[in-house]
Amino acid sequence: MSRPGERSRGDEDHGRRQSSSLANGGGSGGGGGTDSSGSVEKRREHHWRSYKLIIDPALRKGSHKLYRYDGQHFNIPNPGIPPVDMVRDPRIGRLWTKYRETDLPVPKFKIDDCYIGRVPPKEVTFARLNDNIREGFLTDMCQKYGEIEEVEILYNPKNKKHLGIAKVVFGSVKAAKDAVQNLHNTSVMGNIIHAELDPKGENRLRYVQRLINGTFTPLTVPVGDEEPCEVSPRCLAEALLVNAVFNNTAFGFI
Amino acid sequence: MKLTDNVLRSFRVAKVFRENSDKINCFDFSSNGETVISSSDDDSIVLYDCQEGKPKRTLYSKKYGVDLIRYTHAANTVVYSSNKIDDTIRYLSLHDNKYIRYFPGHNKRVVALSMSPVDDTFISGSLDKTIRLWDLRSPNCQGLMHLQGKPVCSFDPEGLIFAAGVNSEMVKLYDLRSFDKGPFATFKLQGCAAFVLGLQQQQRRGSEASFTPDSQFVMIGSEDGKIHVWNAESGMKVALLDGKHTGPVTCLQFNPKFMTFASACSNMAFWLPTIDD
Repeated sequence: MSRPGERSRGDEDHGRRQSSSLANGGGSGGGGGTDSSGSVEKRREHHWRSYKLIIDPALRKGSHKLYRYDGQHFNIPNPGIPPVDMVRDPRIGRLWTKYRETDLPVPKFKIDDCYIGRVPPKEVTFARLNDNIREGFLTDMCQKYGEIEEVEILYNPKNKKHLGIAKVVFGSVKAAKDAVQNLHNTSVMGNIIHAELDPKGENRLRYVQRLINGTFTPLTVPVGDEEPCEVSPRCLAEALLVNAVFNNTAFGFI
Repeated sequence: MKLTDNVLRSFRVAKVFRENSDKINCFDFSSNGETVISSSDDDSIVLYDCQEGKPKRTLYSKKYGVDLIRYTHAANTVVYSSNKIDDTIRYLSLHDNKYIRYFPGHNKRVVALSMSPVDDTFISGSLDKTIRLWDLRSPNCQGLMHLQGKPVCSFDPEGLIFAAGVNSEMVKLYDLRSFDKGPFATFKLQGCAAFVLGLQQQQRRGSEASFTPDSQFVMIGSEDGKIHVWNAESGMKVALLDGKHTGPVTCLQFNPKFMTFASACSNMAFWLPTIDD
């Protein structure tokens, strides 16, 4: 029991600092604290184990510090507050409620160098789009499959030409899958378009690079059925060969 | 998304941050779940954005070090204990990186720090075998209790009572209004019941437990970097997750508002469920 007493010195320092101008905080209980540390052992002898600061001048202006020791004694006689007669659980209605089913939203972490998890396939790459297709059109086309987070049409950075390629990020994996299933190899504004799940956008990047460095000339030309633009399907076929994983159907078409 | 056994089992590390050169000793989510603040033995305080999952800001506490860190109710202020020079608790404004107040009193290392869920009160437990009660608005110690051993302490979710664990042997429950009189209930502990009571096992640094926000599951990080999950009611083991931590899991907490949790060694890992919705 004497151990805690030794340790209470810090508190008394604290009390002393505070009480220098005010009523001595450690007062009747911690009074020993203002003595020299020689009385450390002695101090534990006296009356208290615990105190509660009932009135703190820092919180209630103009008051003096009122301490209660062990629920019984006060540093001021007749403080007008009765001592604690008994302790009981203050919580009312202590029925153990079963947990409620908690519905928590999943945060959408940014995909960057720190991202090491599997990227949920919510991102769809479109290719062979009609060059009149803008974000608005694409949004209309896609949103029937689910919530959309991002839509972007890609342009050639040099000449700002429509590349026929777009990125659509859906809110859920299901929506992305539905969109690919329903839109791939369908005719949109005269083009049989290509749609694939492309979680990190790697395929899309590859297509775009091939278009930009000119190996595969204008894909901006409509890829309509009988249009004279053999180049672009070939370019795509090439790109798709590399990433044949998702796209077995694409080969059938070409 | 609903928190079920399957969802919990599907959790994988999504992002890893290597901002710290030494062990992350503590972290805490803001009550809106949007940010997490971490303290490290390398004396830095790193703030993360939990929605995008990226580090936002780094502050330093070179002089005093930084140990247990807790958000107050304002999202831009924290209290933390120190691991250098003295055992004063410091109240820091993140906005301007200035101290608002000091809470001197403990004279040995602070091993538990818990903010009231409802007001400006907080409690601290120290190896000096005392628990102290404080108010953010006042430098005066609002209460002091001498215990017979090393305490850990934590508020209840309503902020009406607090629990103190002593020497990992017993748990005492105190009414906040009359703690000086003594506990209203005392439990002797057997085995590992301690963590089920939600106490921070900070005497044995290197393992920490967290409840999920619905109190349905208890999660514990272990020495080998793995995370164990139990159903809190049935006691059944639900999952064992591999955080691929490079050392013991020092801290683990489920986000109060989002379907994600964080675990730390010297790296910080953010987890996501991988189940398709």
